[in-house]
Amino acid sequence: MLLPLLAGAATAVPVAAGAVSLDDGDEKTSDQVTGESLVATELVVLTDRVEAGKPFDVAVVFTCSPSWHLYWKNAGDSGAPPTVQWTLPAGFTAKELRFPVPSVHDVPGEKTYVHDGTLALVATIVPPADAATIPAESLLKADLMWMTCKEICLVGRRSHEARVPREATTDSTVAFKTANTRMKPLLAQHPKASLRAIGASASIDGDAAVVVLPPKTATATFVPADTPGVVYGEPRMETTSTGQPALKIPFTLKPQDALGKPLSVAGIVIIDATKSAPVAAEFALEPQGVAGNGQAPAKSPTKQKT
Amino acid sequence: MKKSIATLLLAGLASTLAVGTFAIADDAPATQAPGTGAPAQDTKTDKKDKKEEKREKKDGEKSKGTAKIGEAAPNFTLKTTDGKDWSLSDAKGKIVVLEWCNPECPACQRVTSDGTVASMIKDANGVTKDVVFVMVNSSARSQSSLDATAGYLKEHKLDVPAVLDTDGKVGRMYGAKTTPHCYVIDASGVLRYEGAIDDGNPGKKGTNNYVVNAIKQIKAGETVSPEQTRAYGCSVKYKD
Repeated sequence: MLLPLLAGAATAVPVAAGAVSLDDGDEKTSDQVTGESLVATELVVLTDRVEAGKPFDVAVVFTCSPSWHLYWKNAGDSGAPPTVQWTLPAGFTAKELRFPVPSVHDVPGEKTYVHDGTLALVATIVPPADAATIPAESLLKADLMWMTCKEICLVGRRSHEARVPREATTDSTVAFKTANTRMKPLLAQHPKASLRAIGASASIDGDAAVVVLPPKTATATFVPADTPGVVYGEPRMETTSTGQPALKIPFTLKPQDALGKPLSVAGIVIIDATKSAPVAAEFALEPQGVAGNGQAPAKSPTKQKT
Repeated sequence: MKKSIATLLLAGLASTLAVGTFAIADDAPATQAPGTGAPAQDTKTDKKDKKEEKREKKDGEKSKGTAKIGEAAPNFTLKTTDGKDWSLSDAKGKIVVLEWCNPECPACQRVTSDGTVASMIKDANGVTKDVVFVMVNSSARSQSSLDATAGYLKEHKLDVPAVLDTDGKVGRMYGAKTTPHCYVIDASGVLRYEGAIDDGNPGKKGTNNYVVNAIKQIKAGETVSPEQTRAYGCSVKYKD
């Protein structure tokens, strides 16, 4: 089953490839399905043209078969996130993939961060600043790899291409509008890029990150990013000395396990996750008492909520 | 027919595989298998198990029953795919690499079929001949039974023992979460590394093998770094 063609370019090659539909309780086994047959994928270009030096977004849309899931960028105790290997015109670069807010699968002895249903991973593509280097038609190629799991896991691979014109055409404009409309609910599942956008703030307080939450926040969940060299403890809700709710996230640093990367305390905070439209934002802090802006963070004394 | 053979094999395994004469710390109250709440050893231990237990105590092994970096790796005894007992304590004096694997898992298939495991063994042997690799299968699924695991190793020309941990006690004791999930134990029996086999992913070969890295650092008398990484792959398909 092919999903509807959706591309931001008038001359786009077919960019959707489909999955078989397996209902709950389906008795098919790994002999009968493949990683490719379980997950449909699309490449959706969120622009109608390529302009020199003007970044644009490209979404890689995955649709999982019922009961099967994919993994967030930090899979947790098992699994692995989908990957996208880009092949772009000369001078183009792709920024890191952005993931939607995951669900937390928490069973005894294993916590994983997963996605089911349909999700969009988004990358910002940055064209070169020199207009002379922008081709009449930019070919974007994405080689996808994913691991999808239910009781078993299967790996899938697929490649997509999209062609984006330098000058907008009627077709590319229509395709862009269609893509925008269709992607809107999927992009709404992404966390905000900063805590400020949800009325929260974060700082380091000794060996814990303290995320001060908007007033009346009842619960908050922390989903850690993949930050080698930082081991997280169990977060707990507290109240600051000024009476604001806060999520205190203890951590332990293990620089020897940082794999050469800068130590970072990072992840997503999800507020009142039980609500139908959870509010979430990403944050990242440098753990040596220096906030992301290079300034020493204001101390945020906290006390245990009783 | 195939299915019934597998079922029989599984039933046979369940009844015949004696898991673990776990080393008991001299100062440990003994005998709960972590995470199970069940006794680690049957009170009606047979003569053979008692003999092994005595030997372990004689060896002076100090394990608190769960695997932790920098501490003595807990001992265990499991059956190999060719029916022999294999005990961690038997390998004392050698570096031991435990790799949790499951022939059904695509991440294990990747590291095996693309030569990652074979290269790892070769490179480790280039560092020291005193290194022992053991595959551990803690999966309870029928396809991962004796013949499947043995066939998997044969297919990929891996001449290393594989042990079956069908009830998952050893896997839980080590905290094995994924397949593959690797552990490196130094010659004195101390756990020095646990985590991913390399910096790859289920679909892509890594460029840095963390196990070989750990072995090199152990032999050089250095601190192992990284000593813990996030393992990638399928979850271990434990019995419950």
